[in-house]
Amino acid sequence: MPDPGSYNGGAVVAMTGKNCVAIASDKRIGIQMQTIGFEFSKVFPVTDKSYVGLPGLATDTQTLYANMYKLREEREIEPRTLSNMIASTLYEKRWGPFFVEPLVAGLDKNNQPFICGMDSIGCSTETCDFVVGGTSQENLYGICENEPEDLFETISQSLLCAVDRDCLAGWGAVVHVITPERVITRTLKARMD
Amino acid sequence: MTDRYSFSLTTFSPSATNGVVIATEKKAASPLIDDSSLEKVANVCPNIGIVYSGMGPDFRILLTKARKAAQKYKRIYDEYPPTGILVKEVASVMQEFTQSVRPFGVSLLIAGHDETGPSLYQVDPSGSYWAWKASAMGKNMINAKTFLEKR
Amino acid sequence: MEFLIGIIGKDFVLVAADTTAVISINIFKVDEDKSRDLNKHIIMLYSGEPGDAVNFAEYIQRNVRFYGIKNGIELNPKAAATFTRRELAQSLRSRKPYSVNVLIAGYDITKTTPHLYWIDYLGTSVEAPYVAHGYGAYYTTSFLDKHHHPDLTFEEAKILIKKCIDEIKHRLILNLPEFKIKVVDKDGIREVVI
Repeated sequence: MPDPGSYNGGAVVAMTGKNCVAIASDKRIGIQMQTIGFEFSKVFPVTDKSYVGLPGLATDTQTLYANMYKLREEREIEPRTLSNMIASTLYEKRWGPFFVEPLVAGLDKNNQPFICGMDSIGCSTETCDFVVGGTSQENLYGICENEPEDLFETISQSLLCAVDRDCLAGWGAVVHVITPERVITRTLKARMD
Repeated sequence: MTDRYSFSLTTFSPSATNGVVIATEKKAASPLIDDSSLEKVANVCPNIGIVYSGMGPDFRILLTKARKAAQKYKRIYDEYPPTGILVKEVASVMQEFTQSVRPFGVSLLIAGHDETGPSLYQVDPSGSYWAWKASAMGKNMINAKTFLEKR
Repeated sequence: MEFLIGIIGKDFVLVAADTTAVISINIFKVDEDKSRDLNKHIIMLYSGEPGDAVNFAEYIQRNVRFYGIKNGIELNPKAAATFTRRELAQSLRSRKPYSVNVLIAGYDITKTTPHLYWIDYLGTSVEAPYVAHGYGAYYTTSFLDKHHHPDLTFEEAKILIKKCIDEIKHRLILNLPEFKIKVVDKDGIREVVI
């Protein structure tokens, strides 16, 4: 198996807006160049206002998501706390890591946007504008640097443009926009080839 | 039996100062004891404190366990535990020991401040716990409680 | 070298596996059944390293059956697939991982829906309307992209799977002469002869 990070393919991007954040991923899953399925979103809800994106090796995406039961606290966990928890979970496997590069997006208790990205051993970086992950990372960087206003439109167009130039990702996308009142989830059609 | 227990008094004022306070009598068994070595109120972590009534050595063990639990929590979440979470942790340790040779001979009052505000809990040797607005325990607790109820 | 395929139809799942038992360069037999019934409504097809595959399949089979006996209620297809996925994912990071790929096909009797799961040796579980393992997948998935639709009738599905098998016999360099085809629906698991 060459590179576990690009074996199954996939792209995830998260962005902040004014009092809201958005996180989106493509829906393809494949084995290298062969597409297996197209209903495989890599973004999962953890609390009402925090989502996590887990691009990378699909088996680890699923294992790690199943591990989220660790959040057995009787309170709404803050996105920053959540990202620290994921980071320490990943670092526990420092010498045999999960091959995922998680992104966390959410609103904190004051409805302030929080987004961060981390590597497969839990070294996290908090940013104020956007974070990207997965096989379309470079493409996403290129497009995200140049996008203005309207969060939903921005994140959707960025993701679609990026995955159209990446043969390991695409085949539809799903976008969650988290606002203080509710979460708006939309699925997007993309080039289905 | 109750006579052997030392006295701990705790008050709690949610409205006035929006905080929680715990206090205890510091009375040495003999005037020869260096009372700077007596420690009955202790910090678990910056936002949580404990006071006890009962057997001192048992309390020290529990305190160490509570401090370790708090640090373990911080290692994972990079923040100190909310009061309720730590209380649960301590209470489950105490419950576990009811099934061993002997349970912990202490009752605890755990006071803390977290994002939900100040709170005060009492934990018994059985491992059961309650949240109080104000409470007292140990020697003279009846009087202290009646006093608190009037306030 | 082996081939497994599954197709979901309107109210059933049709699955097929080749029947060649190969070790090294030798074909040992051509009537091997590469499937195990996990319970009355779930079937698992498996391929991979010969010893591993049967051992793993029977391990899953017995655990799923045990669950049914112990709890008086059978696992549904999703639960069986999740359990299998977890076993493979745990095995992946062990000293000697199972190298087994499986398909889990089942009919959920409470929800009255057919389900099909594709799980590889890494523990990647994908639910999809049509899936395949092995080199044959290169030919059949693109073929099914064009011809599969959600309201597939049993007769149509039989024709599709026949065409997939014919395509493999025609194009693939490997010698896979025989296939065993089975269907899972509300009445359970049956073998289908085309």
